Amino acid sequence: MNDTNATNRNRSAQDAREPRTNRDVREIIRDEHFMRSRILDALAEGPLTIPEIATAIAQPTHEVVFWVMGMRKYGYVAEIKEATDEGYFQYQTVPREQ
Amino acid sequence: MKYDALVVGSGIGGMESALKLGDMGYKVLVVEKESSVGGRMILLSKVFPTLDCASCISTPKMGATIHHPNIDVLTYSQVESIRSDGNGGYHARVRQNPKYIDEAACTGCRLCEMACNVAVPDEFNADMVSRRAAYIAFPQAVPKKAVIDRAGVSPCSYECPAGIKAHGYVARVRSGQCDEAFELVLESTPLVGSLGRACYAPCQDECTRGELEGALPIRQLKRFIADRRYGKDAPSNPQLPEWNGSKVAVVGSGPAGLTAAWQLARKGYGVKIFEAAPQPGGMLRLGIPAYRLPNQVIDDDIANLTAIGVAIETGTKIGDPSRLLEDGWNAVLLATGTHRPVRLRVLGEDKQGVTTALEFLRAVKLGEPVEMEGKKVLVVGGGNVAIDAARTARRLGAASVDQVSLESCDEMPAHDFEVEEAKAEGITLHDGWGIDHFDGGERVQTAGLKRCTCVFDPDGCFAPEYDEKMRKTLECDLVIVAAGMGADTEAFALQTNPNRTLKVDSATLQTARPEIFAAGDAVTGPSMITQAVGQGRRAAFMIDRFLEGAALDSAGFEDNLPRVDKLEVLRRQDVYDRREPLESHAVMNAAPVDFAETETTLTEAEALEATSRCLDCGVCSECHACVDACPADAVDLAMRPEEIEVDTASVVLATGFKLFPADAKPEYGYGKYANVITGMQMDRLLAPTRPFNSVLRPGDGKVPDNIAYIMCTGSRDDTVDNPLCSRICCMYSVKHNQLVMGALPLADVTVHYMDVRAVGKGYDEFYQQAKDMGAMFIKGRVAKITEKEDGNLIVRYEDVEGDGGVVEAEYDMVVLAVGVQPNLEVAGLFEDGALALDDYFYVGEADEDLDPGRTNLPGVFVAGAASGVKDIPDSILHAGAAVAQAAAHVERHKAMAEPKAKVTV
Repeated sequence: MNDTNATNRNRSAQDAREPRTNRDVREIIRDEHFMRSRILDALAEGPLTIPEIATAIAQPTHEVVFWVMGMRKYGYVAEIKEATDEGYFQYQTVPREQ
Repeated sequence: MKYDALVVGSGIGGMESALKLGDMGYKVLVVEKESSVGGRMILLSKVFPTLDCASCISTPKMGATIHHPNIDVLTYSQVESIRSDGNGGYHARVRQNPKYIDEAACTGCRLCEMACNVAVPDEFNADMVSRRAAYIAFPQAVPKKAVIDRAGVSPCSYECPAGIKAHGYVARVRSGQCDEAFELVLESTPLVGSLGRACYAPCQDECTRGELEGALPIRQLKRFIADRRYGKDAPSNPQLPEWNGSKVAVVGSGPAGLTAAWQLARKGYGVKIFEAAPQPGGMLRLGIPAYRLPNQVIDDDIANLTAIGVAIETGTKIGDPSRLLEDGWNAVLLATGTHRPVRLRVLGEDKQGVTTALEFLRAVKLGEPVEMEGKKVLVVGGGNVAIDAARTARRLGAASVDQVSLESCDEMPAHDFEVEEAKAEGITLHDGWGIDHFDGGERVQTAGLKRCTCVFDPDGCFAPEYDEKMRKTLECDLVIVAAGMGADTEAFALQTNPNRTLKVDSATLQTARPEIFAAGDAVTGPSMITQAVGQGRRAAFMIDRFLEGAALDSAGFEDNLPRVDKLEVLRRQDVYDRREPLESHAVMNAAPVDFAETETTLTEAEALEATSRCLDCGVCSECHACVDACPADAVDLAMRPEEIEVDTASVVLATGFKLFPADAKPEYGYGKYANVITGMQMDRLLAPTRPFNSVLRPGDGKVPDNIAYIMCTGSRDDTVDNPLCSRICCMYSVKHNQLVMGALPLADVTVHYMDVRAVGKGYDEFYQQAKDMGAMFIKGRVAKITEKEDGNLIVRYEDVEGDGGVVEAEYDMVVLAVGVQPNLEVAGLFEDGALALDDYFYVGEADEDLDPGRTNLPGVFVAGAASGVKDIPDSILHAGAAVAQAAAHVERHKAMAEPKAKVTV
């Protein structure tokens, strides 16, 4: 066996992949800064779960997960300690130093 | 650089190899492609079967590796090639990639990361959350220093002749930082509003999004930030720079002069602009009609300069610039533009009623009386100035406006959109016609036209040819000629080119008289505003160096990284969501009667929406938010890659493995169903530095109630050409089972397996412990996963040990226990494919049983999973074996190099 075979192997595995129906992760994550103000606006009235935020800004829940978790990582939102009975955490805004 | 051993890779195998060799007293160089040492192990939650914290075990080794007196570490670097030196040793070429951070100054505070305006998937969190273009890899990174991810310069920024960081201000607007976006443009030029309206936007022509649905409206975004700033009640209060004791005179107040004055004043020079016209602005003021560029916007832009102390003296025409030097100015910049109209040189051109576009537009813009009502106007020319003149005449009440152009409509130098807008305003275009003569008495009454068959000769030089038989006549009361513009430089008594532009050194913009520089259209001939701005910036840079007594070279000026390849950008994603470009904001009127702007500014919502289409081509946008945020001044965007040559007695390959790409098993729906994740992703969810606040479903953030594991995903599987068992998947899944049940006590965990391979000290006990804790193990391979509307997953499998038959089970979340693949990159390090691989493309060992770690190349050894998948203890053991071999080789190498003692008889 040689490198070419290995390359072909990987290529055949690649070719077997189905086209994705979701947006590319890179594209979703790129929207984080753009979506941030919308999410913060939605949270201005009080803490919300991911599905509630998704409803408020009319975006898919799995995309909202990326944005909220990114905002959590960078200090814009934080979770409330206990999850709801339905199994969702609520997220609230965090004051940031300017 | 000379070493006893070069260790490629700094995972657990690489670190162990380096530390053991270093402890033996050998000089070791470790090369790691990431910005931190630690490899994959540092990213794990815990290790099996002890459930020790992976970070707690790894970080001491990481720190020891970095700080060991015998070990040098190059992070963010790549070995490019390794070849034999012919004497038993090796010669390696290493590329040290720039981190754009001064590591000595960086304190690891992450303020750059917090400020960064570009979000990309965080590969250190298995792409489950974002990181920034400026980032520290992970909280336990060693060294804990930031890196700025730069793929090159984004095409929009690269193509701007003015050097404006277009991508940067787009990214700033996207983050809602409009004032900071404005300030970023000010770093290049004070003409933010003027460029936002009148620039022909080469940035947009090169926008990568243009390869999809259409380019971003980058120019309109600049207008948006300018209008927003200038529309504020309270004007900005800039800090006046402290005078550095030198004075520079700028002659001309067009884009080049204003930009140079701005740059020099910001450096502390005393600057005065001398302008011949009654109002400053040059061609912005005198040549561009108000419907494209209102005077108020020019005033606002110029106020940026006067606010920092630049003086402007209008109505003063400078003759010999030497006089200014005699008057005490330390340097002079000539930026007088091209205000001399070019004549047609046809019969009747001197008749009354024939004027030039420059004179006409200037009179209108300065508010001088121009009688146009009811006149039949003929405009001659096919460029943008001709279009401006025609549309201006239309607004002044001309009865008709005809425009004659030598070029056909497709060839006209005017921009297509300008031509279309002119047509929409009722201007009649006669393309492909030239002027033969003008007729009438003292005053022009008609124009004789002849058909132009060709405008340029084969060399591209202007040499029109005509069909003399095809002629027509147009009636006209007023002719406006826009046949070109030239520089008016005779009075300067300086060397000029044949077209009367000033002769300068093209790099330094210095004339033959060292203290006198020249820039803009007076040097280049007629050009775009951005080109003149770019010349102004260059001139200011050079004048500053000249007055500082520094060498006049371009070092430090526009030292850009290479432009990012658009195709490379587009290849970063498998699919693109279609996002419609903004519709034109031009409001056309078939019979315009005033000079109201034809284009409206973007609304805030439109501006934000437009920026969301940016592809972040260069990754880093050069928005300079990190520069502003860093308290240690550690950001250095001028860093460049370095090539390092290394001589080494031995090489240890510790390049690890790759994980199987889970989407290569499409029946499991990875990448399609949000709640199907990989084992590595679950490891991250369980780690203390996890991307989420708990173990949550990526689909909706719900705490999962029941989780399934699917073993052998991509291993022991001929359908993906990987017949090997990946060894670690069973045990990391069992580890997850226990950790999940600890983290989510109410959750059910089910494992779909073929057989569990728990070979190793304490492994089987670990497996039994998971079962005792409640993990359910179901034997049988999973055939397919489908998704329900609520995001739950239906797993279809054959129940081998239970009641038999095909069964479907519903789970909240599925974890694919993905297997391992060889890292093929390692073979490419050696020239001519010299390194032998085994049948499965791992690094081949000469004798795995008796001689572990030795490859087919003398002096080259393999450590850890690069030779085949291993768990952590085995990787460490294997590294020890490889290191022992390497040490023996180094000793032999030294002995061979020492001169032999002479034997005397």
